Amino acid sequence: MSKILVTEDEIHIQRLVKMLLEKSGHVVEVASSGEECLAKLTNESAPDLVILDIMMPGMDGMQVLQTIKASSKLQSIPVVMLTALAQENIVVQGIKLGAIDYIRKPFHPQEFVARIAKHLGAAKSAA
Amino acid sequence: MKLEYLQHFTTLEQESFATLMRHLGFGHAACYRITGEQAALIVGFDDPNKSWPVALSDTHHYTRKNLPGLVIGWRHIGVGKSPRSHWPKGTILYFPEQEQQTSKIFFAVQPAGTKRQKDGDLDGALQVVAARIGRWIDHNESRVFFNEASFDEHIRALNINVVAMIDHLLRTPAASIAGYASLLSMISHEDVSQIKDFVHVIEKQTSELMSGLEKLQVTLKSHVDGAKVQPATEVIDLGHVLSEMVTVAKLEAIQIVGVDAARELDLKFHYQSDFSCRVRGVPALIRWALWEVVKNAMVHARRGIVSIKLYQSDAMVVVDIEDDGQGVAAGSEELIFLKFYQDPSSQRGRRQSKGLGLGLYFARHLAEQHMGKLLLINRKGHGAMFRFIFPVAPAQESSLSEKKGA
Repeated sequence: MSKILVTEDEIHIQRLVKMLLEKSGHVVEVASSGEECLAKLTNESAPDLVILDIMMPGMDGMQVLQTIKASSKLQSIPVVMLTALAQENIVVQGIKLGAIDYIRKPFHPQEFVARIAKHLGAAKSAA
Repeated sequence: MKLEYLQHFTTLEQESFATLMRHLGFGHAACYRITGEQAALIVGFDDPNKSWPVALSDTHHYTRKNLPGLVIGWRHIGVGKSPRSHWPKGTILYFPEQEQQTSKIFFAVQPAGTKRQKDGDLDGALQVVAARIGRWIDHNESRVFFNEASFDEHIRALNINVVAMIDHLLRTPAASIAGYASLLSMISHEDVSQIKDFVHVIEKQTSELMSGLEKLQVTLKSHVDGAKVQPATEVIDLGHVLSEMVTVAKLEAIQIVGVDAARELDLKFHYQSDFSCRVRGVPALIRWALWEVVKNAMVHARRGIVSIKLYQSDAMVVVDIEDDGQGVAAGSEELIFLKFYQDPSSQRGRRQSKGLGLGLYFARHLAEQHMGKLLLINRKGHGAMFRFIFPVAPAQESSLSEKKGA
């Protein structure tokens, strides 16, 4: 059973992702902003994976990712980007910053769950 | 050589840019990224007493502690025989991005001296800025690559980015619809309340999707060749448009602000029909611009009081849309018109669906496409008033609604 932190300010997507992952047996925490995500990462036990929306008001996902990867305490946490943005340069920027995957909306729910499971498995093997 | 228009800014850049705009006053501005092998930029002064090139460390005319990023300023832009005090001043705000080997620069120009500047002068000044920086860099054989771009090309790039943003507006509700439909197939058919819940979400998100499609359609129609709104427009009676809009707003209030807030909504429209409130434009675009600001007022109204006034002043048609909310936070007066910016002091709890921070950006953009303006008249603590100003359509032209009634 893995712990996942989902950071997404769109309430319906947040709820959807939480339900999909909980039905797959994961423990899911949610954050509605970049700032809240970083607060949870700093103050609570580290999750096994972070799912991070890019387009958020205030601190956007790219800034959060940069902060995570710059922190010695947090940098080993795998991060999957989730976004509706379709531009390739955004994808490349996220990967260069250290994201392990990039899922575009709209996503197929079964595929989404399968990809997250794959990354969690890979992270556990590496640990 | 490549000039790239920036799609969105970090919070730091937004704050710096807003401070810069306040320092300079309401000038025209453009934001570019220079891509190249190095993040260095060499900029010079338009001053015959200085020789070129001038190193970055010498350029600190407008450095302020509250302006992170190096501020490079110069006194005069442009050429010609006019007195220097009459030429606009310009400032570059420079953020080196060493790791990404790019630099972001913001140009802002301001009317100088006491002479009244026309918009064309300021636009021209921006073009001169872009051209000069291109030439300076070429002259110094810098390894920064920068393309001299016309302002029209900048506008074209802006239009393309608008379409990309709307694409984003479609993908999010589509993701919800797909996801909740899939969840419906996973849950027990006896769990009626959860089925109802998921169906409700699908219905709402379908409505969002339709709204996004409409915006995309309208945007594509008006940006067919990346140019401004085509001259073949219609005369629109804003009195008629706003009357209809108020009716629709009252019907859709629950979807916009929720049941409780909709109940207390007091939306009033005041106008005198004895003056011309006709403007020329694309009806769907004008409606879109007005609707974004009306919705914004409904969301931010503290006790539900929203007032719309239509009148004529100095041969201009003016629409004032006012709410009784908290007003816009100090320092955010120009930020709220930036793409994706959301005022931290806004009452997000009243908003029933996620906003992207694009409404006011679109509203101003569309007003300017119609040779109009959208201004914020901020009264901190007493609500905000947004003012549209449009040129009056000539009296001999009749509006579409008048023709229909004939």
